[in-house]
Amino acid sequence: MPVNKNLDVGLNDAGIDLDELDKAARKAYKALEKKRRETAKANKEIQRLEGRGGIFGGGDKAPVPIGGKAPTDISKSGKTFDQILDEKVNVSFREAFADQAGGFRGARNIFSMAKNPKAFVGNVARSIPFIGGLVAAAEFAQAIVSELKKIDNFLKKFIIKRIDDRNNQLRERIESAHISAGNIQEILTTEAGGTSPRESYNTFNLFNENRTKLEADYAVRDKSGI
Amino acid sequence: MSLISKFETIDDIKRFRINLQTLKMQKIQFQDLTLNKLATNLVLHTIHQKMKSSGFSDKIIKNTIVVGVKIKSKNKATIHFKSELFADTGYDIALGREEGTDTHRIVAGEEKTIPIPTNNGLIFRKFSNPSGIIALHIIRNTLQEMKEPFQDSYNRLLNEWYAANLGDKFNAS
Repeated sequence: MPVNKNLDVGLNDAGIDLDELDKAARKAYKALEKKRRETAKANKEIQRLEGRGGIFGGGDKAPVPIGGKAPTDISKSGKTFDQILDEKVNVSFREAFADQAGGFRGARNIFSMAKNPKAFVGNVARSIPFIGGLVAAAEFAQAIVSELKKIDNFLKKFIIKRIDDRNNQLRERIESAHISAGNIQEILTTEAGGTSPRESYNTFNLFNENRTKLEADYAVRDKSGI
Repeated sequence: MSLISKFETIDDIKRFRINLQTLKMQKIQFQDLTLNKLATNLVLHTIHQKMKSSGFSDKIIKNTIVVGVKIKSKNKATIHFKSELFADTGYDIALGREEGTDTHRIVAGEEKTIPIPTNNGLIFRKFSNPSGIIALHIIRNTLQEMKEPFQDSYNRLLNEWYAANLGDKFNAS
């Protein structure tokens, strides 16, 4: 009779039972699937409510302004788009230049005087407290002078400067055309006054030697202001 | 042994369960292969070493083998070791070496003699009365000694196999 010996081994001593694992995974799957179904249902409900409009509607639409005022429908105001735009621009303009033109109130007065001088004078007169005839007359005159000063400032600051810019641009364009055509000479010398061809920039030389470069140098690039 | 499974999506669980099904199908094959390998490399190798150092004959060592692995249930397996070397008379020498012998008489067969070593060399007789052999119980003792290391090794390999096949969502430590 031979030597027969057995060695017993525990197969599950690692502590992991695949069946138990599968059971746990199935449970987790069911839980996640349930969550997914609930989420899908909730999404569907939200879409349905959004489709109804009212307070639920308009995920993509403009939000209702704070204070409860609904956005103005331009088509119902009876004004053209240009009129509305003009209003907006005027308001923006006044607000933007309020400080430079004597404050917001001053700027508004300037506009009203330009539109209707009689009414403007009347308004200013009404706004001055009546103390005595002479005093009132003096103050009235001062108010008019003050408003005129504001108009002067305003014109100097914006309108005259703008006209100057446009004139300069036009002048530059004519001058550039003359230089390109070789009618006017422009020489840029060195700091010490040197006019050597190697050191200076002479439009006549360029006109004779490299006319393409000259035209490129004096081309009017920005024509938007003219 | 702790198990950490992290599922973030339903797809993770689906993948995990598919891996589990694959593992279930392959588990018996893995167990059979791993137990055989461990029994040979770990236990049988130790037994052979001990036999060699105790002066066992090569014939006995060669005939000490792992017969097979029997998976008895879901949680239990048995590895069968056998050692046998029969003499012409039908006596199992391997068993004698394992369990020891008393003083006994050996009678040679017809027209044969038994070589007996003496101080003056070999002498040949028709019979012999060898003294008893001490019971070493190498196989029995080795199996007892190796039971725990064997189990540990198997558990470690099993965990590694799980970790390798269940994907990165499974972390066995």
